[in-house]
Amino acid sequence: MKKNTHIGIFRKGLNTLFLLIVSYSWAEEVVFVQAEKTKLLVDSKMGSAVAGEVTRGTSLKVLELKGGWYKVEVEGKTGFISKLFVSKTAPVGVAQLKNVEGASEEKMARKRSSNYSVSAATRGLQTGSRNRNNQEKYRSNNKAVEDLENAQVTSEEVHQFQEDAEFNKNDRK
Amino acid sequence: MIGSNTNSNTERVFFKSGTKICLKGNRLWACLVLSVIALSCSSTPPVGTEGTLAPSKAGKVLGASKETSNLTAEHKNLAQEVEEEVVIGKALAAKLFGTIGSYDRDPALLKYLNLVGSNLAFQMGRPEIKFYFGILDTEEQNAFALPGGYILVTKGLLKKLQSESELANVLAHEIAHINLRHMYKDIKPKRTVSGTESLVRILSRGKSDISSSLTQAINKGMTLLLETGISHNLEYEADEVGILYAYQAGYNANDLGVVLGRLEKEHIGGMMSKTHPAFGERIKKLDFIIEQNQIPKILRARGEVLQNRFETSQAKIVK
Repeated sequence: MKKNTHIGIFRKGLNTLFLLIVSYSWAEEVVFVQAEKTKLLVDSKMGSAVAGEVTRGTSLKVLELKGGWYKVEVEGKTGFISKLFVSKTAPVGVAQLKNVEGASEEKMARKRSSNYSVSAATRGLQTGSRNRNNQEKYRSNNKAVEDLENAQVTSEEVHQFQEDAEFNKNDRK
Repeated sequence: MIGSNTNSNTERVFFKSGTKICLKGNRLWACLVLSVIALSCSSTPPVGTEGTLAPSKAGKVLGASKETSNLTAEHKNLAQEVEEEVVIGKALAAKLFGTIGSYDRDPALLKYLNLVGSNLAFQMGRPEIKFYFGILDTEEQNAFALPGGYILVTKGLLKKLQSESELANVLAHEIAHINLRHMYKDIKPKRTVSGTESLVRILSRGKSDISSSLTQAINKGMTLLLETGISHNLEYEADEVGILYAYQAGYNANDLGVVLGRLEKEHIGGMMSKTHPAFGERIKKLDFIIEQNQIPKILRARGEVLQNRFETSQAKIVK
């Protein structure tokens, strides 16, 4: 009885393995464009002629990996794209990422502060000496960082800036 | 014989019932496997069909484009990592501003710097990061890339530059450091502390350097920025990726080498020579990358527009 049970389990295992292998071979590898707009090139060289343009979020079917380049297919066209401009994860913007549960900056700061306290306590440091040691070497200017963050340019301004200069207008086709 | 038959029957019966069980089990397994297949298919959207089709001005934009609204577990990890990078980068920026000084007397130059930098960042590989470009108030020539998207350039370096393309190449080098997480990988706090580490910490009463915290990450970061620098190989990597970024944006990829050549010619070293490889060696490697990638040494933009806005923005600091 035991022998047959083992055979049954073994057969199930083999079937599962086979089906999993088949399913993985069916699942095509895809990468997503991370750059706002980038080029699909004819060859795996940055200076190569342009086969087409792809924009952020476009999924590309990977045909081959060649050094730092993917040979990809999209809408029946093939070309090369540098690994620098794509990722296996679909792109998310800054605003969207902030909404991800459990990843608020405030929460992180609290967590880090708590870790610091634990670490300092195990080293036997007093709060006063801790602050004195840090302050002696490098001072902080948080106001300057705040000002920098508040003096940001808008995406409309950046796009206008691009258009004024007519970047990449005469790319080799 | 009878006994044997009985045994055989019993075995057959068992086998039959076993088969039945097996069939039921197979259905279960088949369901599970089909679910896996379905999941793998659903996580792989059809090529070029996610979202609505992008507007195609000249009919050359391929596929569809949009940022995903379906956040996955990978995005959650990414969010945590980015937040950690930002906390560290912000603290390091505050320390650099506090130690060196912030140059905030020229809002037009700051805006121009952010336009050049953001234009590059928009076209690079990390849309989840917001980049900030600031100016440090020192005559030394250097630029710093901090985790989380903070890039600080010295007033001294801005004075030495002669075109927007040169500035873009410098900023692209710094963006490459951030996108490749060069400093962050080196200084990031440990996520978990093992039991052994906790024991060592307690027993050593602080003499052990195993513990890792935000403060330690920041102190280590400051040491890397101002004293030792990161490894030379990482600098070469940022040079390579930086010029590819600059070329991708439409700037002349040769201009990073031009800037380094000028600094070398004028015997400018100081802080930068302490933390970076020798200029000559970097220029040699840059030339090789340009040749290998068959990158034309040209600007693909309206040169007069770029030069005009560069000189207008730089005017105040070069007086």
